[in-house]
Amino acid sequence: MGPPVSRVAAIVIAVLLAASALLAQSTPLSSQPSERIIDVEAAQRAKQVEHSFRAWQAPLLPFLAFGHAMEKGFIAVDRNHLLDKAQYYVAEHDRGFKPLFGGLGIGTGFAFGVEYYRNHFLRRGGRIGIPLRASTLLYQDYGIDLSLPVDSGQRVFFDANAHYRVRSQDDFFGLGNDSRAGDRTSYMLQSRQFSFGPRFELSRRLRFHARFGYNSTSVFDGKDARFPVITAQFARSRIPGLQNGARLWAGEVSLIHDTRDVPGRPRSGGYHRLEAGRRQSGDANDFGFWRYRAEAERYLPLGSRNRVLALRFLGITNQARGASAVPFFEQVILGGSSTLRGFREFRFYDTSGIMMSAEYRYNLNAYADMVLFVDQGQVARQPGDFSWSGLRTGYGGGLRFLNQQGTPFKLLIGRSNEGTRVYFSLGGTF
Amino acid sequence: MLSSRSAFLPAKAEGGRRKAAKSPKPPLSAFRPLLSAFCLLLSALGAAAEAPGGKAGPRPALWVDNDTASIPEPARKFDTLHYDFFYATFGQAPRSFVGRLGEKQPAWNVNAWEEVPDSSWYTNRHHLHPMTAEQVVRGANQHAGPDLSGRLVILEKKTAGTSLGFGRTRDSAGNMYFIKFDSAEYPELTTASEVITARFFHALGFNVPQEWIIYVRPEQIEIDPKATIWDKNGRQRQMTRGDVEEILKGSARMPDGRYRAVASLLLPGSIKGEFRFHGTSRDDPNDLIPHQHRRELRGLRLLSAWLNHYDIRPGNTMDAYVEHDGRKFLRHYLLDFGSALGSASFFPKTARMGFSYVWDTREMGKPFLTLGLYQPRWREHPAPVKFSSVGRFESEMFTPQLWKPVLPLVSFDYMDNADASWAAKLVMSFTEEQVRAAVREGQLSDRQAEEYLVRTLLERQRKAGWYGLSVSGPLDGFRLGKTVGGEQALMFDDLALKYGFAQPAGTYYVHTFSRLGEASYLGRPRSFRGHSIPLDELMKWAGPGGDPKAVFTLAIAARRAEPEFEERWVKVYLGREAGGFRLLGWERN
Repeated sequence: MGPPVSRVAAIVIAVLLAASALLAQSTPLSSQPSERIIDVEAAQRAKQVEHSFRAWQAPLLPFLAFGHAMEKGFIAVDRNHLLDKAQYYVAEHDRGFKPLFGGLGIGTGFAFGVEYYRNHFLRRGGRIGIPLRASTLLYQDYGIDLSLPVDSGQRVFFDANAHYRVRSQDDFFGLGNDSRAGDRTSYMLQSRQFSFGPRFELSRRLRFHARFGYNSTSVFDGKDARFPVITAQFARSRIPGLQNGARLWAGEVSLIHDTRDVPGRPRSGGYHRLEAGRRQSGDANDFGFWRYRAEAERYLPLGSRNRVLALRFLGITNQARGASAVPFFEQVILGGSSTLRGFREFRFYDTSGIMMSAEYRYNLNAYADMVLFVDQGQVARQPGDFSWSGLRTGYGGGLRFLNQQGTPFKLLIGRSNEGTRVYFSLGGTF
Repeated sequence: MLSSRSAFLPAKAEGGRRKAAKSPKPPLSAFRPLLSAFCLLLSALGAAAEAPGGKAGPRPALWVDNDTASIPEPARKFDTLHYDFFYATFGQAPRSFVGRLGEKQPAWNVNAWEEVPDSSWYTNRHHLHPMTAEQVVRGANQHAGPDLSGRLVILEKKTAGTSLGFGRTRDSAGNMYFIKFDSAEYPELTTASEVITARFFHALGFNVPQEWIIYVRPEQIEIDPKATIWDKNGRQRQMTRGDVEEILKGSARMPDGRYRAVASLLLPGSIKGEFRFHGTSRDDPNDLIPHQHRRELRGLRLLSAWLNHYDIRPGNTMDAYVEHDGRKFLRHYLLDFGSALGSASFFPKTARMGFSYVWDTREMGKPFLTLGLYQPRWREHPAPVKFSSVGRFESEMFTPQLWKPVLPLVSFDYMDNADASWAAKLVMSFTEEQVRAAVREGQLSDRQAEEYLVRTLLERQRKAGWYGLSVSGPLDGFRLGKTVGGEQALMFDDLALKYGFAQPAGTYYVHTFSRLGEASYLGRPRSFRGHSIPLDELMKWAGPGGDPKAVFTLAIAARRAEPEFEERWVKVYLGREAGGFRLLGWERN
């Protein structure tokens, strides 16, 4: 059995005290000229006290050691230009590899990866990227993204991508607005998808997209050991897509009008998006539906650009064709850091959903905004089923940390009748 | 922040002391008793250093603090902007906290006349030995500047700081300079700020590098074959012509194709790195005065406020191991004034600069607590950039006591009323002609911009001067003379009247005297007008002979019609000599 901790601590402190005393003794104090404005002997004593370790500082040792390490560390970083090196490797150049951090969503663990990219691919303004990304919770995303300008003015682009994704433990609480938080289960999605289509930059503020593609998704039991797997709680036959997943052909068009002053940290302007699309199963499953999506964000300065009221509306409906169904993973999902912040991620699923947010943002300094927000949202089978009484409400506040371009990360606390959620995540909410 | 307490007892004895005008209160004043107790506890634990020279009575009558004894060569210290930020913002908070509470000692390096003796840190210049406009303009410069008749050979790229330029660069005469250009978007901004501010700081008494504005033709610039560069990718490699072209591409080019730059002569001796604004250097035995107790580093706050030297921080200071008269010691310099006045190096100051630290918890707290309803005026209505060569520089919102540099500095938090008064005297010592002459050194091509800069500097000068003199007794220049009747009298100057901050008609003075450490002889202060106090009554009381070592205290204060001026007492120390008194000095705190 080793010595008691207290004895070891006492020995360490005694050694440090002795070392500091020796160090103080060894500090050269050469003979001083007599004409000093101060009492030299007293000043020398004070200096020795300043540069020696004092007994009352013992509890501060970890902080002092941390401070010392910080100083040495920062000096090493600056002298070796490590920040420049890091910026070089993170930034994009003509071609090469760059590290990826995050990007798989909240609750997916710490995600990192690497992307091979090539700018000006095939022609000026073109880009190809091959991102490989995985998280500590085994979420994965491997793919290839291509964007090519069609015209020399770079107003029309051809975009294409193909991805293999694994979402190892997303949550499912049941369908509908009245699903219970206690029914939390876990499922895994494995999807292969490709899509392609033109993108028209109609003006500086207006864009039009058209996309066509195919998405093959398989559903498995989730890997989150803390909760039951989805099939243990919900019957395969009652949840569309749970039995065999879905293989869907997809086509959609969207029109985006963006007047935000700085998209990453807007103080004025707005963002408006209209989208319509169609999904149709390409196998024996009877999945076929139209999807309509309307989204609007407005940023209203309140007498000053330092106080902004940010408003958002989001409405999505999936209209099944005839007796067709909408796979649960293609439905509207509310809850979490980007929608209803008082609720867990993936809290509510259904074929239609609306969501409204009002966020009061005020500036604390150049690097931080304080945020107070209220979110309301609801999911339902049909838009006609929405009701005032069915709206789920979350509220809270927090900090948005800013840089010149946007909101690199945020710290938010959301509260609802289902408890309190804390979000520390990359990017802004909207 | 400054304490507004009047330290001298006679005013209380009078009973009818006038209600003092409200002056800016230190933050957290409501918690002050509690915090004071906390600080006393810290002091008891040894957190506060012993204060040598804290005895009552006259201070040493020294004009030179001899801190230039030979010392072993200290190691080179490496500065880091990032560590400076974290340490200044979070690490030194306890020290700054103590300073802000006002529970602090008077500066240690103050002589009998409330002045700072010459040292390796500071040299009394314009304030005590008035300089001509030509001397102000010449500044630290001891020769005509770089020899541009031939080539400028770059030995390394400038890596420190954010500005565009070259590191060590050799002129035709073989002297080494650092070269800094203006950005293409803001011609003249950086270089004018650098040179003008350096001139002022030299005249104010600080050690600064020698600096000139030069005009360089691209073809004059050569690269030494051994010159290396840390490129923006963080890799060290040989410098190429392309690197020079890139720097020049981002720099302001004159219509005739030349590039305007500021050339700073390499400091003499061996460079040893930055100094900090608190504590002492372990490896400099001459450095016995904790930097937060050096008056010049405390008063530097008001001086920097005047000149908007926002980027004052350890990284912009330098210790050089120099040899002088056979002795080798450290001399302490202020550097890099490219972010003073309206400049923030290669772009104008942002609205925040001068009003808030980079990370300023207090400034954040107000909008936080008021849900954003309160926003400081500088953020809601930032001063405009009127001239691109001047940047954002204004006097209307300028409040000297609220001015802030880029990072909190301990010595700035320790500035007390006496330090502010000392700094105010330095600020006010410049005449309009001298300010104009210094600004002219910036060689601004736009006359209106130059005039605006002069006017703004003069307006800020008055604000800084008024502040410093109003928080401490503006009575100064005490000397002994004779009245018309031939009696010995104590004479003095009233700086508030001299600089027009107060009106003579509404001003009178009160005085009392005592033996050092004893109660006042007069019981209550006597009032008088005029700038001399006959000492006959003191003589009668003290007796014709008496103890030659006895020290008498004559306390004096001004009372004014202007409510902004609080009653501040100055203690004047007198000793005995044959047939009268001799002046031993005076003290404000």
